[in-house]
Amino acid sequence: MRDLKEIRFVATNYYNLQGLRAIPLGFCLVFVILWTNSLQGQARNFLVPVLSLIGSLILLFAIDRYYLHTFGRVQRTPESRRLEWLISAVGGILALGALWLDLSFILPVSLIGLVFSAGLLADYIRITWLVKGRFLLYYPLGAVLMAVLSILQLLGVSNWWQVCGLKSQLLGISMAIGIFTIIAGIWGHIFLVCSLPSRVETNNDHTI
Amino acid sequence: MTTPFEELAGLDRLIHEPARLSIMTALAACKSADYLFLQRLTGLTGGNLSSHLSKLEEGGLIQIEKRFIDKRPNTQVQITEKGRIATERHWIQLENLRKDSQMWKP
Repeated sequence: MRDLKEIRFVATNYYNLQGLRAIPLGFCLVFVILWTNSLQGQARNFLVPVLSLIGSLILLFAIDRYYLHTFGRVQRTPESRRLEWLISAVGGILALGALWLDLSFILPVSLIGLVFSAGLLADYIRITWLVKGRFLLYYPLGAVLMAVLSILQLLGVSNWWQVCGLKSQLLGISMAIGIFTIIAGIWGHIFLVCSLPSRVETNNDHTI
Repeated sequence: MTTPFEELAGLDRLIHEPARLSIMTALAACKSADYLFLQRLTGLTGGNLSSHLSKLEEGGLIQIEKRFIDKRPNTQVQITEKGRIATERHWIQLENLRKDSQMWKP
């Protein structure tokens, strides 16, 4: 890595760039959506969601160890931590409200999709606040895609989720969120690996 | 008024060295980082990184704490207030130099 701007960016956002962490959560969401979609009537056996959750947590633990032993540990500044907590808390409350509205009413738009889209944009602004640049473009890209998907029905593309074999708009949007989480996770990890020097320096003792 | 040469000569050499500037820039962006992360980030060899960190610690710009995490040795490096101020001042000096250099006449 030569660019000091990039060094600052990676050091500031090291936690966010550990993309592999998101993959188990994305897969967990996809499995739960597939399970929910396959249900006929009331659910009686919760083995699939429970196993998905346990598997994700185990995988998350293993990935955490991998990052710790391969890339090291960074403690974020208290300001950065506070801002992330604030965005997570506000996003969580809005997501719960949107989920309740999506489940309670038949709406032409997906509110949970729009909240996710807004959350991605807010997170992108937070991440790139200190260090400007064209980093992590999948955040705004994902936000736009999710926003479009959320208003597809309003734009006249009705029942688009049925093309994917899903029973409702909520399941369609949730599946999109799960797939996006997996892709974004892989993208983030590749960005982190590409940002770091592939090999250590040689013969530059004169710099000391 | 200082001459361009005086401005250049006035840079803090302890920070200005490229590897140390990378280390200080990274440390200024977080609360603390461990040895492995700094090594991965800068691409320095273990020996070189240790040497640079020792110099920065001697200058009072960083604090080094050695401890064990999960029975493994871990070296945590944290920028001091003096180091943070020095790094910020260095960046401002570099930025001013860059602007001034556009007005220098041959």
